[in-house]
Amino acid sequence: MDMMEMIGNPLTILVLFPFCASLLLMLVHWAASEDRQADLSRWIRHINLGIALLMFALATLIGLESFSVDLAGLEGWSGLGWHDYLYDNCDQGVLRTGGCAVISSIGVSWHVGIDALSYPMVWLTTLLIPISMLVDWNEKKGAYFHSLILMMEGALIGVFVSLDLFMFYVFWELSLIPMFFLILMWGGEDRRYAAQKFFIYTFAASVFMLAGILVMYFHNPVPAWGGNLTGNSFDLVLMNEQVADSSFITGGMQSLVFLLLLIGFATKMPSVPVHTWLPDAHVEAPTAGSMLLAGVMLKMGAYGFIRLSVALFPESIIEYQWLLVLLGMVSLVYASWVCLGQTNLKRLVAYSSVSHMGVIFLGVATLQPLGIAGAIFMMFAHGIISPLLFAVAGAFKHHYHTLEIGSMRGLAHHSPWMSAHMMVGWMGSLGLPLMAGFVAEVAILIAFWMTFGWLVLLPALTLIITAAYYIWSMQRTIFEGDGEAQLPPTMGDDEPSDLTWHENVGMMTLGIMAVVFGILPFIFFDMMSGWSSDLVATTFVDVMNSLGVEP
Amino acid sequence: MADHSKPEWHLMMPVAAMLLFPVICYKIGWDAIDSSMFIIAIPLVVWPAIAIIGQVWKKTDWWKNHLKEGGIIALAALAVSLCLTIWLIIQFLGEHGNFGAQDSDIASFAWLNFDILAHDGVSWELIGSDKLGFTIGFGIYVDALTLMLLFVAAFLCFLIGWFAIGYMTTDAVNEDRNHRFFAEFLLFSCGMFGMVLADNFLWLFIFWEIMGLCSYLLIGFYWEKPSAVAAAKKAFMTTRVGDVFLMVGLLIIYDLYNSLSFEVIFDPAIIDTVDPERLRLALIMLFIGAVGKSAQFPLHVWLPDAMEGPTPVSALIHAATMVNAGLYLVARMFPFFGASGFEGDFSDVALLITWIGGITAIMAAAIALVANDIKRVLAYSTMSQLAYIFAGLGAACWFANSGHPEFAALAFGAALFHLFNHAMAKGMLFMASGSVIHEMHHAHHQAHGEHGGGDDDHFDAQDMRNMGGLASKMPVTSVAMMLGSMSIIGIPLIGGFWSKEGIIGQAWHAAISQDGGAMLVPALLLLATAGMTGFYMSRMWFMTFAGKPKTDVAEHVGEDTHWIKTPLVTLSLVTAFTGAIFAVLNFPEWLGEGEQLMHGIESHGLAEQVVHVLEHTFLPHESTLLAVGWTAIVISAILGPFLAARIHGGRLAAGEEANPFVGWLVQISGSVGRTNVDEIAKSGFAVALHNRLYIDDLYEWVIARTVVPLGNLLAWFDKSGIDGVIKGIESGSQASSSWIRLMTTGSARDYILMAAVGALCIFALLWGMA
Amino acid sequence: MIPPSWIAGLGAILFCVGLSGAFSRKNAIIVLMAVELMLNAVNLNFVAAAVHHGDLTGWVYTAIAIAIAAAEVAVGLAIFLSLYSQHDTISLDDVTMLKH
Repeated sequence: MDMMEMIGNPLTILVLFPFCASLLLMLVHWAASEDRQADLSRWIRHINLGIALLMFALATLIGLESFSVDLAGLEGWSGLGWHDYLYDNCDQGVLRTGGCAVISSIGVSWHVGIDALSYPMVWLTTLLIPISMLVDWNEKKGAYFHSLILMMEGALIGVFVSLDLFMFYVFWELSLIPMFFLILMWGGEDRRYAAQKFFIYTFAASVFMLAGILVMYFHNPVPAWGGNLTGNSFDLVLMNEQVADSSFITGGMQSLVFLLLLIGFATKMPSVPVHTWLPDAHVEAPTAGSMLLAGVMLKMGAYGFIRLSVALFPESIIEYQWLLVLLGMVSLVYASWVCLGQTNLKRLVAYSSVSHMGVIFLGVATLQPLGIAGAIFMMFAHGIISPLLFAVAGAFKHHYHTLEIGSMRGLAHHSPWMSAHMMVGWMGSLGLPLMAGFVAEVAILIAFWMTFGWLVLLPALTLIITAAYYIWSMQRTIFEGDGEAQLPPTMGDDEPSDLTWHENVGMMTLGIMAVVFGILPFIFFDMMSGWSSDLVATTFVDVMNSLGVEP
Repeated sequence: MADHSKPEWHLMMPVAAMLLFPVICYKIGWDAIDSSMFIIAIPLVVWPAIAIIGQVWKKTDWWKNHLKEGGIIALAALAVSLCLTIWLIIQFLGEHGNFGAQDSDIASFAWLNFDILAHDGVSWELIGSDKLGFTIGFGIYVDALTLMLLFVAAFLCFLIGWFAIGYMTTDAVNEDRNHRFFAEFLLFSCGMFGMVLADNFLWLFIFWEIMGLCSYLLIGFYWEKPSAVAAAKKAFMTTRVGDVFLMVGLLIIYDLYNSLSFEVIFDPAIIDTVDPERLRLALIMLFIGAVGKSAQFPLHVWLPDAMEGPTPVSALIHAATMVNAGLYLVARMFPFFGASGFEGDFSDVALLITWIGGITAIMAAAIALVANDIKRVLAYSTMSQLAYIFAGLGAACWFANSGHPEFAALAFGAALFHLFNHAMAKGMLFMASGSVIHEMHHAHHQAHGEHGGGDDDHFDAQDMRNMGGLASKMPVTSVAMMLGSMSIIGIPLIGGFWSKEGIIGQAWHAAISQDGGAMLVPALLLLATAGMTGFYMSRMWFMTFAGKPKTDVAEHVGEDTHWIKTPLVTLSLVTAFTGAIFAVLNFPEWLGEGEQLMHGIESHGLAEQVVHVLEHTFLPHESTLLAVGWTAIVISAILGPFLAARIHGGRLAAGEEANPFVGWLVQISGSVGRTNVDEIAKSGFAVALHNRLYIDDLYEWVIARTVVPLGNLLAWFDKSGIDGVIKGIESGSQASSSWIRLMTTGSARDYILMAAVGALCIFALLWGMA
Repeated sequence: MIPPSWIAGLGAILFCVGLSGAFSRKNAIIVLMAVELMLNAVNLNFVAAAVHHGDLTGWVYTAIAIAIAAAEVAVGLAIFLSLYSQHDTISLDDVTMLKH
């Protein structure tokens, strides 16, 4: 494995640099003497933010450069096939001889690359990390808080860019650790329970996913890999090729693997019925933790589902289409109704996250390129709007010391900026046009009608419920108050205040992004659409024709 | 506070400056349709500027007095939009309407690109050969309907914005938050302009929702009042229900045509190539959306409560523009009915439209008969007049679908002409009522101090029972209100008369024609409503302006605020004269059939055209129509006002003199005698009308019984049921762990025993295997 | 010669005696003695095997086992001494500190 080539790849930098830098910073702080530590904390926070912004710039540059590349006659990303990757550090020849191997004896390599599915996620992650750091800029957090967030950045990007399933799994689990500590050390009152539940629940589900990955491993031979003892590798690109040749896992084994993977992904997304870890984790997590959890970590599940299950097992998708529709529909409708009965602000937003992620299953189940592209865009859109909502909730908690809806009335009196951001966030979440969520919803609904006809009434009518709980919460929190705000009892003698400029800047950035991608969705939608069109055209069409699927 | 009666024309300079913008566009060489995107873009860019600048600089003097808290900026933006609109109209008329749907290179862009997978009976494949061949984009579409609505919107937004500067900035309760008002006002205008200019159904829907958002924000402008917030919530939720159905309709249309663009769908070669059954469902869905937005039965419950917003909001959103969105949508549905391949398929949809129109018209008019709040009367009047337009459109669709395109065009044109007249008149009526309320407030403050006469004083400046005799004290307002009311009532030769006669005439024409039996009931309802309209509008005017003042506050009312008068005067002139002018100019025919304006004048000469139009209106050929027409005139213009004058009219107090325009009316109202209606006013039916026929209460009861408890139930279920399973696993594993731990007794002897037994078992196993 | 089966039989009897002693006695030292008895019984088994096969390997195993037994006794007694100095008892009934 060529060191220079490996390090020269910008994706590798995006993964390893934040990770190592954060460890280094934590080490420096730990090793420093008592009196230097306070000063050092401030420096470390700023360095963390600086590195995060640097990574964001890098990710944006990668995107900008790729947009102008001409591939297959179409500009930039739209010309990529569904299993072509940019910034691939191992081209085919090198891959087959094990040139990128990290643990060559079992076939693990350091193989990274991005395509239309993962790049928006990478960009989103690099966007959210500095914003979440900024929103939670409190000095009382100490030195380790922001370093842990930076460590998460490395792990999260690692998930999205890995093209080797072993590495994918490693980063998947690795991202749990900083989040666990974030919740445990800086969370709310019930943080022990929430952190443990979060970790054990998702870890246990991921073990099923690991079992599925191992089965896939044993069906992925690489004869000419020097040093390889098992004769198999974890490489995803090789598996993609096998699918293109229709020689990958089939039949009953494929169903088994699909279900195993589904357990892991569904828990992460989360989907009803394995969603109950999310409300507790969100309520107890600190603001930055919630933002990242909702904004990126949940998308790991959806991403993995589309990258592995949808792309590699088209027969299973078709066979279990009903299951996907069921899970998606139940998540969407059930979670929305549950929102109506919530009194805790963060729980409300958590359940709304569950319902939005259910829409992703629906999008995939339509088997239309528009639906799949809509599902991918929903991952992105929700990743902007949900952190905004959690930032607002966190600011609410911070300034008013409570999360109970209705205990504070007339927020607009004392905190007009907070009220404005709250409204922007909620309008975006309920799918107001000209914001990013609407684009995803419209795409999925159109595709859903095409495939399932009148069943689309159920998600459509749920939109009414969604509007109901948001408007109701807004009414009880921002408005009313009858001339003067009604402060919650938890305030004691404190004066109510509006947002700090850190919080305001962070929220405003997210709000602007939500509107920008609502008005100009084609920035990312075109590439997502191209990817899903190619996927459907090359794999699903053949499978559907051979299985004799009827409309 | 500044002296409000001083003219502040110098503040209009920034507005004049902004008008250079269209001139620049013209000089660059863009034509009107290319510049038309700025009609939408300029408000879109300016509104956040007003919001943010206002929030940051809200207490400074220059912002408050020179920019009127953002009002001047908003007015400038709206002036540019109005100017560009007029330019567009001039160019459109100049080319004799020959540029229909145009694609502007500058304004259109591809928004979503994708492919579609379809099964062609044999196998699945992606449709089309281009990758990402399907596009939903945004572009500008201009035809007669667009231009009329655009003009109405731009003109009224501008005038009402002007009015709002006077109304909002001179009221202390609004201090330091008008920037929010003007920003939201501007966003709403942007939404309306965008909706009428959009070239496909999706962007129509998008701007439709934007308007819904602004309606929510503006109704809830006085957010500290629980009643306002509740009204905003009600408006949003009710229109949301309609919007969901609208969205489903869009999905169906997309699936049928693989496009949402007007240019594609309304192409005569394409429009009737799809399955009529599914298209019918789509049309019904779209109509439900229109019902919600235009506050027709059964989704009408939000409109009366929406009066909680400031009066400019009521004027703009709920009289003149936003509620017309539903009408615009139905008007856009019209080509489906006329397509030759669908003849006879959609008559039930047309009947549905007409029936809803008829029912709403009479229901709203009935409730308006007993309303005492001046704005409520106008709200119900709006609902009723919109219902008229729906009924007219319904008749047009019915005619179109049964193969009578010439009558369809007449009805269509009449309906849209009524939309125009109503928008102008109702906008002015709301502004006038705002003027009245504003002055009543001021008078109340002057008489009783800033905070009223203590906490017991719930003086309602909007209650007509507190007014009276204002004709002498508020000359401009009284004239404006008189002309507006006349237009709505349909007094011959004024405003709405020309269009209302057309609608009633066409509705009856449909009822008496073959297969039109089902149209009879709506036609009757419309006729009855005309009489009721005459009554309640006159009642409103007489209670407010005629007779003697009923409270001491009404005695001290003046008419000082400067900014308010100009829009009233402008619209008074418009209402008085444009109705007749447009009738002579063949306006309805231009809207309906695309005939040229001035067609009649060009072919017959002006005088003959005038005679022709008068004859056509007052003496139609059909005898039934003649009877119906004159019945309508009699009951609405003579009987209704007569009854109202008997109950509420009266001469002014001694020494008071009203201006000649209204003086004659006041004199007449005092000379017709009195009727006492106290008995009727206490009857059960009157009480029911006061409670809005209990429909609101029914909805709230249903929602409280079903939606909210279900939410709580499911929340409980999630916590105890699903999470209960997880907690069960947790406690189960803890319990079994405790149980196993019992084995660790700590006693060495037990351990030795266990070891020995274990070794024995292994030995036995090995021996067994060997 | 003594038949090897007799030696093994004696070994078996001694093993059972030792096992029952380990189960039933309270005093730790007695249990240690019982364990010693079991080890020596195993030794006898090795001797029987050595005699049976006539191979030197059996005697080597025996010697190793004796050495290990001795080491184990030393360690065990040291543990019981420490136990006694901590808790003033070496009755196995009283030593339950590892109880859950």
